[in-house]
Amino acid sequence: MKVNLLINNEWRAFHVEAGEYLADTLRRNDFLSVRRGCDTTSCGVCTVLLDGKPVPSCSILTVAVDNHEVTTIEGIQKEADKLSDHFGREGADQCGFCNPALALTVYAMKKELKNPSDQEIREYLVGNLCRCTGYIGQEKAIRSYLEDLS
Amino acid sequence: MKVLDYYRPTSLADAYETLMRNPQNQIMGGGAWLKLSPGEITTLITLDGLGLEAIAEQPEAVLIGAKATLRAIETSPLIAQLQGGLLRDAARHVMGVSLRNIATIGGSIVGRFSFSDILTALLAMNAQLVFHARGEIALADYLLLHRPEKDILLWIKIEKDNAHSAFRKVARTRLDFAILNLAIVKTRATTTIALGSRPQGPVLAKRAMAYLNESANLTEKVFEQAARLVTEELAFGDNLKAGKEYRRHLAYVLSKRLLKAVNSDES
Amino acid sequence: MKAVNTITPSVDGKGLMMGRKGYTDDYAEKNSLIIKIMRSPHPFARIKLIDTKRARQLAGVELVLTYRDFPRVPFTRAGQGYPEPSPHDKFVLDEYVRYVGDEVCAVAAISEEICEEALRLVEVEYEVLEPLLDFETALDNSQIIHPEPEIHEMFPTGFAPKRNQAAAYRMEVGDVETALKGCDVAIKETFYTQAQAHMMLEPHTANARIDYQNRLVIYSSTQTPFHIRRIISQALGIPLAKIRVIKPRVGGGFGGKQALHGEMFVSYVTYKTGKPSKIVFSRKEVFESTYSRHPMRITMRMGATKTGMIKAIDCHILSDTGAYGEHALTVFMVAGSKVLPLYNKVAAVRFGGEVVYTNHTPAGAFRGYGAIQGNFALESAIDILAEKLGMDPILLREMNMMREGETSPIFAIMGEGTEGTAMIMDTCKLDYCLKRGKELIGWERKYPRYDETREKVKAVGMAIAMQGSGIPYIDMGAATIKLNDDGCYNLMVGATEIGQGSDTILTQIAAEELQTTVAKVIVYSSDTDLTPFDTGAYASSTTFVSGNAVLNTARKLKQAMIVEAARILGTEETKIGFDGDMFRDSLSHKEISLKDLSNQITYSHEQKQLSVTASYVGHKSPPPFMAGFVDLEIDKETFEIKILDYVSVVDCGTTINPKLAQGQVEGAIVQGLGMTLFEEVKYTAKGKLVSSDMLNYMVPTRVDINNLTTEFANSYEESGPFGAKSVGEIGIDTPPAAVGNAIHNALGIRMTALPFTPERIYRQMLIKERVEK
Repeated sequence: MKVNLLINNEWRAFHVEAGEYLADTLRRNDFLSVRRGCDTTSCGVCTVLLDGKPVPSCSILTVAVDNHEVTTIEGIQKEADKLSDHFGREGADQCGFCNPALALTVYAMKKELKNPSDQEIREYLVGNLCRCTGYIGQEKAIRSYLEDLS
Repeated sequence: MKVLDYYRPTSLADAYETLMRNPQNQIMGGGAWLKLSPGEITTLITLDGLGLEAIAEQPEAVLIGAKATLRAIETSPLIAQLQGGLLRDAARHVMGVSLRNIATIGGSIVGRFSFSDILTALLAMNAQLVFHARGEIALADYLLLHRPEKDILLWIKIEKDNAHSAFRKVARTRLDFAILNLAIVKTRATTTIALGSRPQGPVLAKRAMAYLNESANLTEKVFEQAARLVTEELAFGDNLKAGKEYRRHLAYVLSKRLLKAVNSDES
Repeated sequence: MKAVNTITPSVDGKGLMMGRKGYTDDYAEKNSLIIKIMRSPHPFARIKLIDTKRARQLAGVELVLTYRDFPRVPFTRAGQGYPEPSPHDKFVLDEYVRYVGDEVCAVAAISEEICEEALRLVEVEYEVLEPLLDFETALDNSQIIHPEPEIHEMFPTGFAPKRNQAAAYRMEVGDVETALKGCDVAIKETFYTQAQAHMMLEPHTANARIDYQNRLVIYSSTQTPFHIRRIISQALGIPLAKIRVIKPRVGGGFGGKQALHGEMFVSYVTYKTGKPSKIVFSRKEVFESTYSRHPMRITMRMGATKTGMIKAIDCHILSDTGAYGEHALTVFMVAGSKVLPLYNKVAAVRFGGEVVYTNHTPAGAFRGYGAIQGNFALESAIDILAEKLGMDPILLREMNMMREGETSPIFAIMGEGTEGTAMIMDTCKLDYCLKRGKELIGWERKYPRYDETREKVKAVGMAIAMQGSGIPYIDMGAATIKLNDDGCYNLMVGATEIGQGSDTILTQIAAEELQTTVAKVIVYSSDTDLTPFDTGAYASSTTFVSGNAVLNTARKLKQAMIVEAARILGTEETKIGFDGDMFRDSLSHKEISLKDLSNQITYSHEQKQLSVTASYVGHKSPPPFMAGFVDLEIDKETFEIKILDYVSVVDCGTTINPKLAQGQVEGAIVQGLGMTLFEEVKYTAKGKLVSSDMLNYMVPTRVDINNLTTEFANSYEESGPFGAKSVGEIGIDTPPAAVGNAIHNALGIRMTALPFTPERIYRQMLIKERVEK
């Protein structure tokens, strides 16, 4: 089946099987920042933005998002760059496998929530598991990114 | 689940006709658990574009489209007002935001997952389901059907009772499914108690409800007795997450606490 | 110090967050053959018949491999130095399968779908054998898991497969029984620790191709690229010179990627077919068919005088290594060697036990490696003893614990699989860690419990811990630094960056010694063709061992540069001063910049490449120490636990990168809390893993962790690079005992089996109520 996706502001056409998941379509087409972590929608590693909202691309059929907008980390490079400065200062990046997905979710949260509390930030990002950092460093970095108006 | 074909119908009639054409054809919910289900689907039918994402207000009730996502429900001001915000409270405990952005309420209902927090809340709220062919049926009755006939769930109708409510889920971590979930709705006239993930699916604690609804004074002693009835009348079981005895104990403690909470709200 | 002990962003964090290519699967060839493995549905069985004919005939199938395709060469996948302390008890494929998930056969085909179809066409007939699932009955059981004659140990490790014993060990200092008899107070308790899954977010992944020199090039998500090269060469009979292993970015390891998992298959398939191949483990395979932590039963006896002097400790362990003996002996020995020296004033100490085979998923290396198990038992026992003595548990520790300048006889006796190395604690700030931790948690105010209401109670608990810094005389690291024109440097290290930040801290160490900035040192790690040898990222060795190697290398390069500067400036080497940018002759005050020097020797005069390689092997393993304090709230009816704060005060010597060191401690604390509260590898009664996905195996989420408070003691270890010791593992050790002690302080019950689920606490409370009635 033919599917048109607006990926990172560029229309792309893909031929996919009906049963193919978005994560696989993207990876097959060299969006290597989209990764699989768990197969059960539990870990958040495969998160992309669909029409601006974070979704697990491992569980969305590509045909179901025909004519929708998909954003991967390549689509928000400036924000990722900025967020990574805050992560760097807090020493909050370790293995980095989940960081593009976390950055996308943080970016979506920034647009969706106004002045979120620490608890709201945790709740919004809870689906992005991290096995490396213990979370607290990440949260300090994210908090300072949200407060950074530069 | 293996998906061979995907179809976007132009109308509900078209969707229903396609659904009935082949026993292997299925309606797609949010798709969150599609990958984890066994079997094969000949044609997966989407309900996108048929207006079923809406959450609409009627004079006496709120209508929720089967395609409304859990995230839309969680953030809807209408749902926040509805029966003390119970459905919102249940929805926000379901895994993470990205999953709630795709999981739909229709998927939660038709999937009939025994661990569902949504079903327990809807049961306590006495939700009515509107199907394309069958028409209207109470969720409580729908859950009793052994194998419901193939149909398309369109709307979930919940009455705008002026109620107090409380929801509680016990789980190992924030992303886990419930060891037990419990929802209580208290209107002026009646108290409704639903428990799910026992690990069996959600049910009403009818004896406890009857006892409460017959009690003149709602004292702590009455709550304790009602909680005891909950543990006596309902079955609990073992699974990976917890055993029967602990679940029964939780049912007692949480029934007692939630009853107290919904009644103290009133004062 | 300029580059070291300053807040420095990691050298790779930005690129990785921006989504740049970096992980193993990103480098797989697009036309790779896909490899899928058929896994055993039985915990123990013999393959009576395996018919692969129909699968081989399927279009798109390249190879179907069974045990008949491999020479009968037993090896160990453990990923350790050679000769390994783990028994050689594994074949790439075998006629026997020994756990649910063990490899039956492998298929290589042009797509995943065809692989799966091919696997359905393979017919297997099993002779199902009675499995051995209870590790407490494994020893000398009539059912023998490893009857095959070819398997062997590499040196004496207590390997006795006919007894289902993978390893055994015992030692005694003094006379424990006599010492215990002389004690005023004695306690005995048995503790159980569970298997834990690593759950790094990147699954095990490997791919291979033959390059234009006809060599096998493997990309692998591994902690031990050099061991992989050796083990593949040995097990598959491929000359080592034909193999190149590249470790790109690794998405977390925690010990789970110390061993080989998919590498054997991609190597075999690509070497045999000449075609590129790849394997990516599904999450289920990661849970079911890689490794988890060794479950243990630990019996602790301890005795003290009535004034609180601990006189004897007796520790006996039974450890479950599962179907294969990877790390069987070493994990179990660490449960003694990196735990018992904490209380070094005893008259007698004994340690011993057995490691047994069962038909479970094999156990292997996991951060904390024995120490977390042993620490749970020891530090719980200390609180039990303190209660019996009527003493404050912190005072009891202070009276008996290791101090700076002291030692323990255990260091000389016990190593990892071998004899140990005697050493004095040149740095040990445990006393400070305890004092500071008490302040930070508010111990005086909160101990034993506080803010009790009808429904809830808050409480504090604590434990102390030690670890090591590499394995002396075994773990070796090496580095090469070369000077480039323009005055920047390449740093090539065998040390394996797996997300812990080793590329960054090794760059900092080089930059510090070369008096330059991190930006001028370009690091490249772990490529068996291009970087010098390193044993790998395990045993808390990178900062201390590889860091010392980098420091040695930088020193030598500096000297080589000074030689050149002296020649150019026409003076003696001893007269040259170097500040990182300028070389100055102290006599003539003539000078030349590093930039000019490097350009001159590269392009214009007496051209040469300055490049230095140096190594380091430890002669000691200075332990980092810490005190961990937990502040928690327990629901007195549901027994749910909320961690309010976890205070860690750590003596790891100098923190090369303070924020990354903090990240190591905090990440480890949360993994330790996961093991303490939620995480549990569970099997059905028939031996099938049920916690085989992330819906059933639960790790802590960010909502489950409210706060972590982490500080470092002021400490400088002379033997470490710029005063550093290790910090990778120490954080994981204290949570089980600290939380267990806090639960005791809150509810008056003693939890002896991990994890402390609300249900387990509930059951323990029922027992307590029954006893009190």
